[in-house]
Amino acid sequence: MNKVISLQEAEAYLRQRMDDQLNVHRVFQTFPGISRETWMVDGAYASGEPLNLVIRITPPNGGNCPFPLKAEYEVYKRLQDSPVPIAKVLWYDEGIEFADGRDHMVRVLVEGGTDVAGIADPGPDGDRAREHACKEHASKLGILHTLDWREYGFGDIYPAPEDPADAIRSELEQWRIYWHDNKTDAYPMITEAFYWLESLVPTENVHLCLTKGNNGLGEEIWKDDSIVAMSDWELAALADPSMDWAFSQGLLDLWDRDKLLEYYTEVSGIVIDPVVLAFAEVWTAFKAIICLEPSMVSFNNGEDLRPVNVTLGLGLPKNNERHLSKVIGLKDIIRARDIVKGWRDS
Amino acid sequence: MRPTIAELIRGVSWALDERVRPNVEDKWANSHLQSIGSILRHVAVRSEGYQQILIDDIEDQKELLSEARSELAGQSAFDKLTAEIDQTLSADWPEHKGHRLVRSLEDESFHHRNVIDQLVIALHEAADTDSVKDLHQKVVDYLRRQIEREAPLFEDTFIGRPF
Repeated sequence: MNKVISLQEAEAYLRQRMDDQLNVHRVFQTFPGISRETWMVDGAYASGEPLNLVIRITPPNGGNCPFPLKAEYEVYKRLQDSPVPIAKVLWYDEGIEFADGRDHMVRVLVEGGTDVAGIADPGPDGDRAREHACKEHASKLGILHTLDWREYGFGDIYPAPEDPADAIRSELEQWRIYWHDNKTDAYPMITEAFYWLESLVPTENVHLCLTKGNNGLGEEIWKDDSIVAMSDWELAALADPSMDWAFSQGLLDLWDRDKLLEYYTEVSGIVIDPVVLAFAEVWTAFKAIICLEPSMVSFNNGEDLRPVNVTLGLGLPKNNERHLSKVIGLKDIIRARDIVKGWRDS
Repeated sequence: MRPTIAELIRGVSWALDERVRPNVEDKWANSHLQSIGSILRHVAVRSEGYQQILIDDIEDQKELLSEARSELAGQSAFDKLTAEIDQTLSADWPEHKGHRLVRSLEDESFHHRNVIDQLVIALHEAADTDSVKDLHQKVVDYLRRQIEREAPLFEDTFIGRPF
């Protein structure tokens, strides 16, 4: 069952790992943090220097995510000295007394926030803020997507196809295996959907790079109009960059989709193919089912009784399945994307 | 018995939505109430409509599987699957004094669904003949009917933010 991390537990643990004289003043869990529990720790070292840490813990349901927290930690570790803005990571551990033995990692809190100033404002000022936010994010995605992932050792964490043209097919196959091994019920329509998607997998104009997964609005840490840290890498993968644009939480519609992608090409040299992007947008809606349905395992067996497991593991997959059943079989992925986008926007 | 399960849940949901939730400031507690609201709406619909959905769906599943059985008869590539179909269609499901309880219906539906899942795979892996295409279309048509049949359990129950 989910356990609250108390101030005493956090302090004892951090004293043991960092400084036996440090003091913790406050511990609290951020909201929503569904895929990983995120606990903020405020305190001070013995010297008086402030202590601000973030502890990420795998929830008892495994976290609605195909990749373990250890992989996310390895991403942070490898990106420490890269041009990608990221928080300083301290350590990863599992199977110890802290947090009932659950996987966890500790990183330094980055000063800033997830809200982007001005983007909800009306008029020209709001337009400028939206354009700036989009361009800033495109620049950071460009840095990420042009990183030499082999040099930084990402081939040791994530499977990568020999031929970049197989990037999407390879990803589809990995998720199919995950679904097969983790679903809690028979979903013949999802089986059908995998075959449908497989028949439409793009192999032209496909790139293979490090992708972040969930990114965009509400995901990154901003300060003074800049992204100072790209945060929460639980769905990072070696995949086509379109996957990140498809999962950018509304960024494509915040300013001007075409101009934004043109700007991204300017800064990264990567051209996003509209067919590949359309596929990625449909695939992303579909991935939500694959990620979330397995959270019913721990609810059904009583290990994690949070009611959110039912809304995410039963309600959302069933509703997404119904929506997706209307596009399965279409030969035109752009049309399928438009239909999917229609129900996601409604 | 009155109140019915749905009526009881309606009362509980009203109290939670109108009297409890507005007074809850903690984001996590509020989120739990949001999820609980969805679950309660789902349980209310399920208490009244689920048995009929299962009965209708099982009838539909049996028709599809019987049709698949005759279409695939004699094709050695489908021997394992047709044996599975025979087994699931001929299985005895528990009754209580001549009536089927929901749990028994659920078990039967689940077994059929698993075999239909295997049928989907087998048809995709098979040679692309006209009869395979026709049967595949019938399977997809059934899956769409099944999803629409159970839509009331989810469509207007799991609404709003999931957390």
